[in-house]
Amino acid sequence: MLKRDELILKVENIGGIRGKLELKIKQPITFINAPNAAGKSSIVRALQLLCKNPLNLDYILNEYENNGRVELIDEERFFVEIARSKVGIEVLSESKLLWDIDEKAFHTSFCVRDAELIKIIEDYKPERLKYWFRNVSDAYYYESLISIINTLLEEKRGECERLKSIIEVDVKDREIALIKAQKELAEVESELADANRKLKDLGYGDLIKGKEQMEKEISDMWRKISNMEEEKDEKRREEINLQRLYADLEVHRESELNELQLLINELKVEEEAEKIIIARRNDVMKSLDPEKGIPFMIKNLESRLSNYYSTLESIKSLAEAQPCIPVIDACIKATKEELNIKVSERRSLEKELESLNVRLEALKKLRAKVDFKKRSIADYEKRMKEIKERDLPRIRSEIERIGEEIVKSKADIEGRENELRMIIGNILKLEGVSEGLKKRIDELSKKKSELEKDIRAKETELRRALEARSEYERAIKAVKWLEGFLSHLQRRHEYIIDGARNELNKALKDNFELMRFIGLSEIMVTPDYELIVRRKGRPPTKLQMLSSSERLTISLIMMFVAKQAYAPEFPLFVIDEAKEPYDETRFEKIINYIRGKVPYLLITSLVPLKDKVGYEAITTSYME
Amino acid sequence: MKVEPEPSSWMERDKAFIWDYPYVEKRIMEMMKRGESIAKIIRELLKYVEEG
Repeated sequence: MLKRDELILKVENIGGIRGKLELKIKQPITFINAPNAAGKSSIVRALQLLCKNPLNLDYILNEYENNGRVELIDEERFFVEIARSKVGIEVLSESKLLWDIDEKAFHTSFCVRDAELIKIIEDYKPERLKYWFRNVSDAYYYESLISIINTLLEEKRGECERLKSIIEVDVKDREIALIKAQKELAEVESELADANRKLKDLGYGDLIKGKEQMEKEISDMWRKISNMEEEKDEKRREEINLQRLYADLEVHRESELNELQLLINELKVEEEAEKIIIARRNDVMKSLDPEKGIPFMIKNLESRLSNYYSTLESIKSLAEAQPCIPVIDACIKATKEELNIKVSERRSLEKELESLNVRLEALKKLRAKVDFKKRSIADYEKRMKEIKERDLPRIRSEIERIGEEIVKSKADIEGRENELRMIIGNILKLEGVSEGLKKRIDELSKKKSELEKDIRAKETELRRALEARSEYERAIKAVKWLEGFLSHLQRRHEYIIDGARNELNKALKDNFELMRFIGLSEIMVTPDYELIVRRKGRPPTKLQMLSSSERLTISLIMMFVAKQAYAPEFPLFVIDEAKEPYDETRFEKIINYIRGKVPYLLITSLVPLKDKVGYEAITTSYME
Repeated sequence: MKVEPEPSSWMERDKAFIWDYPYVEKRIMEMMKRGESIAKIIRELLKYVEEG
């Protein structure tokens, strides 16, 4: 908010002002005096630009310049900067706007020649007057809101009515119906329990149960017999297999016995030759003894031969020994022959010894083979004995036992079947009596099921009805709120429209009396926004019949009253070139009426052209 | 640039003032002037009233 008692207005390249202009606006009244075309109205437009710039910007920027600026300074700076671009004139930057009520300030605080209200009054178009009034006062918003609230209220009231009818009628009816159905269900359940008890008392159920039990037992016993038969067959198969095994073992044993006999015969022959072989082997071994036998002889002969050779060598060179040499050669020859015979003999004996050893080894193996055969035959006989004396008797005993069990079980089954026939006989006797009861039980069960289903449905319906009660309570709250809000809005609307209109009518009357306009008995705006002007003793007069000063006064007073009602925070009220239609006394009266009701009253005034031209011709003066 | 709050944020925050008609009126007027759908907003308000 502005706090000091003066403002500084800076205008640059706006309207007719080309260049920079700085003015002081002081409380309570500032006059801006200038001849025609100096830029008085441009100052007013510059101030309007600070009110959310609703003006056509194309006519705001000076036609020779590309940038323009308006700045209003008190403790803060408020500014708007505009510039010419390819698409037209645009706002380049702006500070936060002066007042939230800017649009209302624009429409109500600038009483200029081309302002909408002056045109309306001069042409007198009641519909446009109504539109202007509602627009400036926000009544349009209130009327829209009241209409929406009314629609919602009707909607909610309808919802309340609908829910109320459900709660009042349905809940009660459904509660009664539910209690009735529950009572009926209790009766059916009691009767059903009674019928079941009677049926139980007849013992029919026990008999049926006994019959089912008996049938189950018999069936189980047959199943058991079937299992035993299978087991018996299995044992028989086992017995046959054992018999087959026994026969196979017998065949093998016979074969082994035959082979054994042959081996024994062979062994007998070999054993008879064994002593001779051993004796011969001993002899051969003796002959081959290295200390005494042929090897020893060979060794002596080789030694003798060696001696002969050494003797021969030693006497070879001795002449006296020459005659001995042939003797020694003969001895060597004889010794060599003897040696060869002995070596040959030794070889022959060694071969024989080897052959004898092989034969003795074969005899040993034959004995082992005989022993093995004997053990094998003993094993066959042992297994055959086991089969014959242990396994077969055991299997046969088991087969016999199973057979006996089967016979016993079949006898048991026969007993049970007799018992079952008796139970069935008893059941058939009771069936006639219980048939009626069973039929009744069926009917009652069916009825019980239907009643339970019906009760569930009724409970659901009742729950829904109870939910409707909760919805109703919510809707009632909404209706109460809507009614309260509607009443508040209607009061506000009434205050906005009628309060301001009454104020306007009072101000119009005061001013017309103050200005001593002759012959007017009544001037007022009706609730339908008709502007009534009545001269004394005459019907309502057309506005066109009024003088230009009277028409200007109406529009000026209407603007000022609307400003006071709807834009009271805006500190300026501007009267642009409105002085001329008035005589000095009347103008002073109207100024005195307005001054003191608004912080800054700005009045532009036409003065004669002197030496200066353009905005340099603009001067300011102030009135205390 | 002034950042406008979400339409229902003040309702959520100021549920306690729902029966303060001048306060609600002021808020709704602001919204109407911003061109918001008022019927929808009042329906939202009614939800708070019904729950409260």
